Amino acid sequence: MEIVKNLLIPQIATVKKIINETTNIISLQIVLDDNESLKNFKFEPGQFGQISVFGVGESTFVINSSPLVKEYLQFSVMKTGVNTTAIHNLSEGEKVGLRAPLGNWFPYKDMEGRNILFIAGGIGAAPLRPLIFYIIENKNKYKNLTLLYAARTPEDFCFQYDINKWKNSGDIKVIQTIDNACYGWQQEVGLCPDILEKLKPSFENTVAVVCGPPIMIKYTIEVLKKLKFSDEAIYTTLERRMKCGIGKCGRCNIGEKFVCTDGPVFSLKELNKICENFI
Amino acid sequence: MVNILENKLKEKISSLIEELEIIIGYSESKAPLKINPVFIKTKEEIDRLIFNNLCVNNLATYSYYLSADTKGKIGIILKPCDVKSIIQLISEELLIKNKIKTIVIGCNGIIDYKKINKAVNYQKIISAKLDENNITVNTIDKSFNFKLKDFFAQKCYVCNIYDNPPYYDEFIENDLKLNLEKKKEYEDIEEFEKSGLEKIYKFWEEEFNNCIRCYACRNICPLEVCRDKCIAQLDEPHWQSHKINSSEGKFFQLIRIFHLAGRCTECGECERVCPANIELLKLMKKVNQIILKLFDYRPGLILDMKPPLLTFKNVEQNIKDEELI
Amino acid sequence: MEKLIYIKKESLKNFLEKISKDYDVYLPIQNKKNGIINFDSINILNENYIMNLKEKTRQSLKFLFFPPYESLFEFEYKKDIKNPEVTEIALSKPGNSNLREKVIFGIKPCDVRGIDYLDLVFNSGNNKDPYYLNKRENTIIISIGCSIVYPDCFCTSIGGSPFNFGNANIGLLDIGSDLIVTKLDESEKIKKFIADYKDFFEKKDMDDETENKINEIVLQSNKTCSTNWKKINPENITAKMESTFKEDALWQEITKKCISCAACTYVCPTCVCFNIADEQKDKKGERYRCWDFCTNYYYTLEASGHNPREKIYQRYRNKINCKYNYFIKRNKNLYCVGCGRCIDVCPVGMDIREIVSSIISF
Repeated sequence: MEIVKNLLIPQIATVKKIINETTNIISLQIVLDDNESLKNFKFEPGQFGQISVFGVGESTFVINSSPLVKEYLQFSVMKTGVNTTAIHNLSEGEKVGLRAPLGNWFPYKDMEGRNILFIAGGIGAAPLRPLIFYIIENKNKYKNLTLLYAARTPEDFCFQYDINKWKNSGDIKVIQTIDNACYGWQQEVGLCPDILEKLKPSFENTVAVVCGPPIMIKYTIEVLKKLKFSDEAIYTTLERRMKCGIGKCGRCNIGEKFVCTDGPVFSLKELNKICENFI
Repeated sequence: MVNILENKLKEKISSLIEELEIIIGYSESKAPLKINPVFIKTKEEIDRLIFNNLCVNNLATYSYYLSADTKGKIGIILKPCDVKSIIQLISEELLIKNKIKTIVIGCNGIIDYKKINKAVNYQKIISAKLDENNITVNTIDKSFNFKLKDFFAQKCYVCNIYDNPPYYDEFIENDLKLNLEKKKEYEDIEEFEKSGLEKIYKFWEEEFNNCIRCYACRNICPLEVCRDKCIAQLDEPHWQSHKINSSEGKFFQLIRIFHLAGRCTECGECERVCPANIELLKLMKKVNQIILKLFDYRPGLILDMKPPLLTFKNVEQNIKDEELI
Repeated sequence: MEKLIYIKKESLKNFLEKISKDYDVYLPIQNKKNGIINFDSINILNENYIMNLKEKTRQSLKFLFFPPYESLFEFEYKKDIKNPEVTEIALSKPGNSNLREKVIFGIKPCDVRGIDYLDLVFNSGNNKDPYYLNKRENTIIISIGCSIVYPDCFCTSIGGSPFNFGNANIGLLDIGSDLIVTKLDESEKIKKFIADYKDFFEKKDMDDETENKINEIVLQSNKTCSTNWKKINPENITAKMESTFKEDALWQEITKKCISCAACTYVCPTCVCFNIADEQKDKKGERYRCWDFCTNYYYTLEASGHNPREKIYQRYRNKINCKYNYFIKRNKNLYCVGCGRCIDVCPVGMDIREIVSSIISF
């Protein structure tokens, strides 16, 4: 008889550290309890995991720690529903379930030798974080790196500790923008698409990776197209309500694609082939 | 045969179509013994309208959601008993009276096709033909000829508004009148209850073994405008288990019953559409029987009356506190 | 001369009883109280529950392999007395229950195809489903072709036929007095099965009369079925679905009467979407999956309140595209077997043939 791996049963993991990112976003650093699994655990930037709080349910989050860090896996969680509230109520040392890694990843090999423009909105910085870490680590293979990071207010930026580090190291040019001017803010003010239009990054030999809320993705893509970025050069990650994460339960489909197995990373070229609107 | 009633209906609709954005009516269906709801907007489509004893669907079902989606006025073709749903919706302030034009057709009874299914020994019916008094039904190897009056729905036996609807904007009189020997209201429920609690419980146990929680009963109900907000399907919070089994089916039905207590107009749509043939109307009727006893209230008859469960009185005539304990 | 294997109708009852000693036997059983036919265990047969091989069952067979509700695993929060700060979680995975081998008797060719499609979803690619496989393996499928075709059948339109037994292990053809074996798979399992019950599988030489009868039945059934709807070409239909996808007005028009219940989905042999939920009482609980339907509002509702398919027409469009477009792209097959169950149970007379036809003719 064929032994089939049961992909619906999570592994038990322990919450090692909780970081407050913003007023309603926390980051969890999670470690698998099983040593063997922990040692063999590998993931690619862009892949996601399903975190269970047993008795409440399972939710989908992208793995946002660096793929080079082996000690823990980091996930950032915004408080929106019952599941995420339960995750927010966890304390360090408590147990969760984890099914990971799931889904596809950013084609970072294809991006080699090119400029990369990262565009993030709010918690949309999470999927980009592991990619940025990976690319900075291998920066000799890539050309200029730029991150445009938009949030509502200065308090809504996640991973500010990374951003400060990146800014100081000069590995990546970081531009931060907030929706409305506020006291003490010395960087850009305005919505992400508007700032992008103002910055006018060159499309030549450049790949744009856009992550954020649907509405931001929509308008940012419009601007990118205006700036002559081709569909192949624009990548994004999508979200849908997910349950199984392995392409069976059916609910995360956009057209014939399942976000959980064909995604979450898509190029605009792929998305344009799908008849259903992805936003 | 020229159908006089249908002609009258089409004439009436022709005169109204200009002022209405959309009209919901009945049309022919390929499936035997069934009809299709149809939505018409133009004069050319009026010819698709029909009306006969097979028009069982309560088109009031569409009123709530359609009125939210349309700017103009909606015309709905209704039987006198279907109007009750509209009255109830208006009295509960779920529908705006001015948005709906009720076009009511006098009724001489409707066919309960589950009764016909039973009469043909549950063989699949592949075609059927209806005339004024008879219905011919063909299964794969047999032909049956039945008298219409033997197959009228249970609700027709207690109907006293078939040519006298409690509310309408337009009324189209039917020359044929409902001619049935009247039965006592809730007679069937009283009869059913005689079998005793144990048997009744066993009955429901068996019925709900077949429930697949498809929510057809909920979604077809004209008064359950809550289908996209139903606690039975909510994940957050997880009020009711999503499991599909007999006990959850029963529990869901209990929620439905209480939600419809003093609201249900007993149109019988839930029972008609149940793919597991569960006799849901019995439950609804039982609750309505209690409501009638307690509040002397029949849902869906008086437009301007506040339903008793939507109001509050310090003292209820028929409820004795000591009896409740 | 060609040998003919057949089961005498008069010995069918004995045959089924005999095999039920060694196998769990499921067959179409009609509840005489409400007339509904469903697959059920042979053990429930009595004066109120009778075998009915003529008509389609109300529900498809999928519930046998993919039950409406099944537990995925159980969990328990445990406290260690020595180390009270830490709460451990113990998971108990479901064991491979020792299910007896199954015989499914009297299944129609369209339902056999339904099982093939379930296999494509649950038993292919990298992510196989152990829960499904556990129930699906060790199943012998004995199908009976459709000597009678009903008005809502349309398997011939979408590439099936009333006597296309597909992956059934044994295919039978009802000629009135006998059930003729017209398909027998070559596996050892079936050879053994036939040998074990050889008393019931009788043999005779094919004669002209029988041959004519068989040909006549097959021809007639195919003919009747093909009048029920036109032929659908998978490639053309995908292209048409693509080109009409953004025609919102069209989709609104043809789905106006849909009330977004699950009647069609839950009786469908191929609809297998499911929901996963946790339930806990005190320290113990379980995670289970249960059927779900893409036409309901909650299906795609996200925690943020955003719903990508808010309106019924969007959800119904997804359903039709899933069957007549997406699945073809993923698995090269129409995801519909033409059983017509959805037409039969629809409360408001939605007919998938009419819907698809109006898209084709748009």
